Amino acid sequence: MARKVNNTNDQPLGLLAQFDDPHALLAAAEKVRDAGYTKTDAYVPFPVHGIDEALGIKATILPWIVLTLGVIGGVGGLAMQYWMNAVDYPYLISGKPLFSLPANIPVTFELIILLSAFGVFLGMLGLNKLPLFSNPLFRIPQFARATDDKFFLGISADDPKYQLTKVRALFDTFGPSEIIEIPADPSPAALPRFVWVTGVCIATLMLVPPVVIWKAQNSTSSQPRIRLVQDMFTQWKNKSQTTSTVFADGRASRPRISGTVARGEMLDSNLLTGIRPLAEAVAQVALIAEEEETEPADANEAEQPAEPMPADPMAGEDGVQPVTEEDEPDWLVEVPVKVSKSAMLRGQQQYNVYCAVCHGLAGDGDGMVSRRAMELQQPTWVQPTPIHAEHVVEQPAGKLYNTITHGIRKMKGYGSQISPEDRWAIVMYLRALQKMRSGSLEEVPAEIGNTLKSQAN
Amino acid sequence: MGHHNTAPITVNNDETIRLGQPAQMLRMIFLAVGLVGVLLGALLGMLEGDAFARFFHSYLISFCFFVSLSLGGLFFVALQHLVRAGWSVTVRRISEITAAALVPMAILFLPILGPMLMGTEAASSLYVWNSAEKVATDELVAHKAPYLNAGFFAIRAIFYFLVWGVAARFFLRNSLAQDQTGDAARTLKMQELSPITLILFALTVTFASFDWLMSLNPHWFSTIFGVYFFAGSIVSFFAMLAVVAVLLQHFGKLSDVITTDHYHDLGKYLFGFTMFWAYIAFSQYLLIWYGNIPEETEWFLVRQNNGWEYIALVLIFGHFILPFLGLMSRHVRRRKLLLAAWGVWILVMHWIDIYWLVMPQVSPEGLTFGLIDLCCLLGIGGFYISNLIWIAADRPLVPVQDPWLSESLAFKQV
Repeated sequence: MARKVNNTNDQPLGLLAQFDDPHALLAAAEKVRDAGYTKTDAYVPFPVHGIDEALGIKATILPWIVLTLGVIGGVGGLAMQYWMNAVDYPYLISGKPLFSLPANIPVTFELIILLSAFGVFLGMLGLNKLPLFSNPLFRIPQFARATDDKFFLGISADDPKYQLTKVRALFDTFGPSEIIEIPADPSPAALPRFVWVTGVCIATLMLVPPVVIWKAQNSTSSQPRIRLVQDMFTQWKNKSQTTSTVFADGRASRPRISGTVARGEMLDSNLLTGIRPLAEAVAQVALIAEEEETEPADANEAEQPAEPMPADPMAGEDGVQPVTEEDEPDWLVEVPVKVSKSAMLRGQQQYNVYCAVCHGLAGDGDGMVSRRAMELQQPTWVQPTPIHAEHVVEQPAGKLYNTITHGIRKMKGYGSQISPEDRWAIVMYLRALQKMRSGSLEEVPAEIGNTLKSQAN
Repeated sequence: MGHHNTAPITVNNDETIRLGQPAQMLRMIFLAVGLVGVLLGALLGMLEGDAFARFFHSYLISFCFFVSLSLGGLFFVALQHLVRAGWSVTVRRISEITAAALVPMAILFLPILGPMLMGTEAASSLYVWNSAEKVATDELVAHKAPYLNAGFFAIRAIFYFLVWGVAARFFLRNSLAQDQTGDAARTLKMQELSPITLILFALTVTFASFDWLMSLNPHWFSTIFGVYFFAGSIVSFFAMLAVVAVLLQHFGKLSDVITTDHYHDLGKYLFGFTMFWAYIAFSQYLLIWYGNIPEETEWFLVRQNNGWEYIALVLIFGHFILPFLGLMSRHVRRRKLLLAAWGVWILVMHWIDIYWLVMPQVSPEGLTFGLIDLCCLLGIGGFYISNLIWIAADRPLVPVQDPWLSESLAFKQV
């Protein structure tokens, strides 16, 4: 029943016939339909099959609304993901294409469901003109039984064919248990003033956040940005490589404390230094200092310019104790760890990670960095000495180890990055690389030697 | 639902709800087709000279296809009792008969089981894990040998058919007995035992699909595979039900019993489970695709190369997108001929689905379809249909004394 906007006249809003069983209602509804009335409705306590046809109600358009929204959800979902993943923020995930359909199906599927559900729910409300806070029928006392055991058929006064006497006469022919006029609504139809005022106030207030956001997005400010969750962003800790106000030297990253050894790092001093135990006293000092950065004062002292001794490859540069030719320590000649295939492979892997970029995979001093530096003709670049050079081949293992640990000339020390075991493994691999050029067939086991020979032929 | 104070509606217990004599003639024809089909298939298989590998794969496809139809029927019957559904009573007897066909289907499993147990040349033609040589050389297969071995495989298969057979016979027997007495206690009894039936059904179908289809590639595994097989079963069962109902009505049976509103509901099921099949199939694919681990992707790799990718596309469009769009409208679902047409379509697609699961295993190098596949389809199909007619015999095709028959006959879509 349509509500009148202005109820100044008290004409009835329509006529209602009450029946005692659904069959009488269905029969009456068919006759009302055949009489040409369109603004009709039935009110029943339970769904009555066939009432739609009897009243001539057209099939609902709800499925089409749902289908449309579902299609929008699907197409929109795909478009959204395409724009997000392939256009706005391309981010490669496990080597899949930026726009890859299988990955996008779940979201697309959910959006189809979501929008379809919105379509069903809101569409149903809209088509039924709900929510409706009051209905004139509720003021008819008998109408309460529409939810119990009575069946009502109503014709609205809005119907173009509606004439009170004629409708009443038509209803009479059905033999209803009662015919009721739907009384006009005496209350004003307009919303009370305070509803409007409140509504306008709320709507105005709701505009404030979007305006503030819009302003913030389109202007600059010298103020730090607002962080909603402060503790997450600013934490009471120092990040690595930053300054600290707590320590006198201002460094947040703390150097190792003198005279301490980390767990699992307690090794023979000759293993750590590559120097024979005879020089034990010296090595003990070196054990602490060489592993890591020492006190800044020592470090500065150790930073000697590389240029003054450019061409002399024999000149070791030890961070703590610069070794000169005169006081060459008693280097270990052989690698002090057990030679095994796994250690050798480890050495190869570590060499390829840390050394090969400059020294080249075969140790010829032609790594990518070196080649690029030469290509750019960098004046400060010193090409790495090939490890196959005679004086390098002759170097004792301990000295090679020392070079890896502390660096030499332009080469920096890798003691802080590569563990002692791995440094020895690299030395082991260096020896193997050197043998590659200088070894003889006799040094190879007979069986492998024969294979090599046959391959050479 | 608005039918109070109305007299119960009944069905005339006459020849219009029975298959009748001509169908029994048809039964013999189908039996002959079955016999000729399977024997011709086996003969063609012998000529292939591959220890029957091609024949067994073909045979397995059609065997699983028809078993899955009956499994769908068993599920449907148990489900209707579980939820105490009233609307479906008019199509329940057809479902019961379909489910009961699982009993004779057990015999058709013997040609697969026999050579495996006897250790003949063809023992590992179908399941490569059934070979001592394979177990010795393949670490994964050796690891799975305690489960994947011919003896345990046979025990499990017997168990599956035992569970299915007992359950299907239980529902059919009680329903038929009710035809005589109208005893409502039988309905209650069937309702009581439907949950345990469904639990056993879920377990047996899952493991049967693992045993019969997934173990064709003993390296590969997918925990959702059982659900995938079930999804295909149930959707094709509804397709078959719609087709059978239309056929019966075409020959003047059940004319006033199965109404447009029943077709409408079958159509909804068909539509919904088409979606379900795609959902499960995609769920299986997505995780494997995303994870991209070789031990899982190898299965799809075979099925996405050498022409098999076209079958996969046929499935995506034919088993999902087209029927999904086609069955979306209620106007289609309420037209029984259109619905039956989609039913036939889905059945074809389901067969292709199983074909795609099985055949790449024996022919990874390319698509293969031949007379041998047709022979196996017609052969097992002939047996299957003759079994259906044999079980239906002269029994009513509607549970004439079911307490809810009246409600079902008056069923209207709200």
